[in-house]
Amino acid sequence: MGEPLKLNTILRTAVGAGLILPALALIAFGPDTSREVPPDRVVVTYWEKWTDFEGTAMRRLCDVFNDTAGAELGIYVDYVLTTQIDLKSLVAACGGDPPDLNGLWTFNVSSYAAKGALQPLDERAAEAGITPEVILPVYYNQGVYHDQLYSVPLTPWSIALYYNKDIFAEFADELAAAGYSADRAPRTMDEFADYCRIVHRRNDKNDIELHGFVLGVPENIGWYWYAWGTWFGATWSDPETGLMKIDSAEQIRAYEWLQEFVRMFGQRDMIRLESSLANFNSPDNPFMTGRLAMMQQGPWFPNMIRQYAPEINYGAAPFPTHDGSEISYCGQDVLVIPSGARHPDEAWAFIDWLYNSPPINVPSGAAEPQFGYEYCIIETNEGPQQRPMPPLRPLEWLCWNHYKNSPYIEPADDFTRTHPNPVVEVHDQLARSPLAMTEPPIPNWMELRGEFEATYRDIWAGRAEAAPCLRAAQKRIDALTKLAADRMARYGEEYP
Amino acid sequence: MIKRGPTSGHSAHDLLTGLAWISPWLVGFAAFMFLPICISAYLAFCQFNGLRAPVFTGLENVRTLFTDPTFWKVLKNTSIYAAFALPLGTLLALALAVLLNMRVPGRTLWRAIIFVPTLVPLVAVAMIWMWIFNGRYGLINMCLGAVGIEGPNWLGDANWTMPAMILLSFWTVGHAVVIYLAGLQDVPRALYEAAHVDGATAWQRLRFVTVPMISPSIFFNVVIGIIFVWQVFAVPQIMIPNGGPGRNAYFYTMYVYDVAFEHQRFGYACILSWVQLFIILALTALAFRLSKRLVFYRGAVT
Amino acid sequence: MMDSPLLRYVGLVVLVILCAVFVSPLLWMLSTSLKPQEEIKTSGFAALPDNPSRTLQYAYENYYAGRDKFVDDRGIERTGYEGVLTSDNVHFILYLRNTLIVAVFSVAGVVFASAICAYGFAKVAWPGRDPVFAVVLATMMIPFPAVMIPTYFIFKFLGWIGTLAPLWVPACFGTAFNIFLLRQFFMQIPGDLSEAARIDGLNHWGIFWRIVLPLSRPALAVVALFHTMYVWNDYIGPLIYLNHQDTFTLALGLQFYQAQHGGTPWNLLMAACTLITAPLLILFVMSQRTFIEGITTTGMKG
Repeated sequence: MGEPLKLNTILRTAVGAGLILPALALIAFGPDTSREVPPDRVVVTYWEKWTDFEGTAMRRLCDVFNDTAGAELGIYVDYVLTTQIDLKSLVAACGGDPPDLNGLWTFNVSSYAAKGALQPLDERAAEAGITPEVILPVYYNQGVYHDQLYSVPLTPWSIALYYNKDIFAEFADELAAAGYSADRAPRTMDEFADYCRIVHRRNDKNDIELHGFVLGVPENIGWYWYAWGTWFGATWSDPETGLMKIDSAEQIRAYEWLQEFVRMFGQRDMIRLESSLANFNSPDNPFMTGRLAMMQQGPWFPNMIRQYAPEINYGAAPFPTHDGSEISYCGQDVLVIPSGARHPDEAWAFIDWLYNSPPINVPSGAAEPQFGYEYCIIETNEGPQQRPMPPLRPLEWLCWNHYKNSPYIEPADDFTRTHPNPVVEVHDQLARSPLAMTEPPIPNWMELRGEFEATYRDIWAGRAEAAPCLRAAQKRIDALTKLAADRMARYGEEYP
Repeated sequence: MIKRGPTSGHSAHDLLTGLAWISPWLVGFAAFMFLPICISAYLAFCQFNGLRAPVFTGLENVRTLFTDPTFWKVLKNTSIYAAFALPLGTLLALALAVLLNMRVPGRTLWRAIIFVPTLVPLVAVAMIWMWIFNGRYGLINMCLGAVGIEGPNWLGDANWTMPAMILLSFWTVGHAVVIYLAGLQDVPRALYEAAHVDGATAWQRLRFVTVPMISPSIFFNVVIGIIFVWQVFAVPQIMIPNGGPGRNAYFYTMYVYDVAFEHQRFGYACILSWVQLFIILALTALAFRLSKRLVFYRGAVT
Repeated sequence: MMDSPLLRYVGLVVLVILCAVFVSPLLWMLSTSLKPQEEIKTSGFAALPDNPSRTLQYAYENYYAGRDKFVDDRGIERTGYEGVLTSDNVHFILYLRNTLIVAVFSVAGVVFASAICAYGFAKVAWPGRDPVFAVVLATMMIPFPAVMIPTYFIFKFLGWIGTLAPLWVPACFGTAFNIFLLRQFFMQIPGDLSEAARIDGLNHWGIFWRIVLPLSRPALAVVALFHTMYVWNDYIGPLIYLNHQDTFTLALGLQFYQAQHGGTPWNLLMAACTLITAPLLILFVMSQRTFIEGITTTGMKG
């Protein structure tokens, strides 16, 4: 106090000013949004979950719209990346702050629609020609809840078996001895188990060095972990009542099979192998490092292989099933317009453009070539060849860039011919299978799936036996179902 | 303080003056505490999904409570967490305070090091420890590996998520340490000298002089601890959403949040939060009762 | 204290070991943030990258500029990554600005409002003052989850969901904790002072503004500091009220960064953690005494 200036004081003042002045400057002059939105346009806020190459493609598509049709119509689509979008969107809807356009997963639709969070799209869709005559039924029907259409397909997919051909070739003799050919993937679950037994190698310390297949926790293997039962002919709901059912004979068989499979190779070893997956979209995925021969994956997978392990010689096939029939599990990313959206007409104008714009030739030079905007690499008889990307309808342009199959019954010729995903036909074929499975339209599917997931984790980790565990979970699900049905009954609505 | 006669005219005027001074709090209390509590008391007996009007359902939510296994699970988890994190954290904080109170070189530095973790934003705490608990490359398992122990996959193993959370809670005891340290520095030296003359060992001095003398601080911290430990949210929510494997680290507030904002069952979430409030109040009341026997207040309590 | 030299020696060793444990997560965070992605999983305990002379370059890449193509540990050429501060998907500068806006408004509000209310409780005599103050204290025990849901709908009614307002407006009515803290401080200001001022013709407002506030600067600093910390740390508030990336605060932005599909590499995540922790550490170093005093006064007077 009252002393002459001390070094300490000067220093502190300097640091203090060094913190506070930039802070004030930032408040006064800093950015108040991450994007520049042109004035005098109606801004359609579009929430989407994609990052990485998928996000880049969708952003690019929004740019194209904003530069062309959007400029004419006076609409600007503002792409906003949103993680945990299924959660955030409902919270925003409850808070009266929803976006105009929302990119959800198809399995969110029934939950949202039942809560009254979505606008029905039937009339608009019929006018725009988005009908079951044009769209593959498996994808169209996923948007329907209580006979109304609430979502339109954006990028569809189906789950297939990806396998490393070189690893199969390495075990060709052993496979042949068991009566299999290294040139093809297993078709039934019995064959699948045989393949896994054969394609297996341990080092001197008895650690697994190479392995056939591993399932695992959702964070690592993907959100569609519950597809497992489908390969055994199971559904997630009782076909008669439409209520969620996970303790059917088929489901129990599927998960008992899984437990048996895991125990055959050792629970501990399997968990260790699986934890090294550390998310399938990662260079550490043992499939990428050549330590895992088979995975259950969607059409995006070849793009990851291309990035992380381009040397892998892989193929795709329908996932093996209990009886060898071509069962498939399909899903998609969809677009919805939330109730309470401020600009539903403008949001729809964007959807309409996606479906009905003439093929677009995307301006070159703006995007990174590794995402395939300007050219594509096509497997030909003379090996991989670089080709220019053809003009496509915006929707198919997006699917193309996402490496995904088309939602159309009749995809454009160019789409199929030039598609960058060498195994896209497999996914397309699976989407057309009469046994294509999708999540049932259950109003509280997300809540019930949570129970299923907790059970699945226990089963996978061997903490409980599959059958009693599933039955116990079914009891919890029944209780939650009853509560949900009561809740809907109070509004005079029927469950499911 | 100015004392005035208790005439009614003055009194009314004084009352108005007083209320005027505390009016910011009054408004805030009414709008963000009293009104919410009233609404919550109503919603607790309703079904409400946030998008449609609430429907009164009587005791339905209370009945649901008794048959909801997840409710009992989170209650159990949070109790276990509280039962370990709070007492062990208190012991650790006391030990650190006693150590810091010794005449050792570099005390300010040591104190700062113990305190600094409490400054790290919770979101960053969660991420740093996710990395530290990483089963393969994490710091803990590397250290264990260096002495030949194969560490568990902390956050991926149902048996280890809860110990991981408890362990992590010790990192932020610095707050309590600083309070205890201040308490220790207030303990009159004469007491120690007297104890020394009486031939008390170091342990006896700790047990019969130090602890009683700082028991008010301990009590204060335990009460604060009860309130906070029952609300634990951000760190586990980020590290192991939905409680991880077996939901073994699914805590109460995480469940309230999920029921409300993930499943839009706001009515049920309200009754859950009422239960939480009552638990915290009951435990605090219990602490106050026990304090009458266990806490030693120097001189008159002011 | 009269500890034997041996005891002190042992104590020092234990203290140093514990301090090493306490500081290691932060050091590891910093160390990880200085490494290139391909070394994260192979570098073990190494504090610096394999090639220490490139530490600064790697730091520059992780924190700011990002990186073009690189060759990973298996010799495969990989697409590069974006630096934390220049990422296309997360906008830390924007989040920082939002956080600062919340901090400035709510700190200004909370200091001013709490001081006014505290004056009302400390220096104005009015009937019913003590019972009302007891209510203030009691509200400190009500956990946020108990009022979280109804408060959400109050803000929805006001049309504030998705804006920063719910994060700072409530603070402008004062908070129980800060009113309590300031009241304690105001009580210590001798009554003679205000009595003298009153004789000089100052009314309550004059006393508050000219005498009490200037004398309470240290206490006001404590309130401001603690509230800044609170804003910086708050996770559940932004999580509930903010939906749009453009309104995110740092805590939520960091979580958003981590939760991206496929996860964020550890070196970048730790760089982001370092960035949001650093300002608080600087603040602490600058005002260590205020921190410690603030905590001890609030801790002791309970």
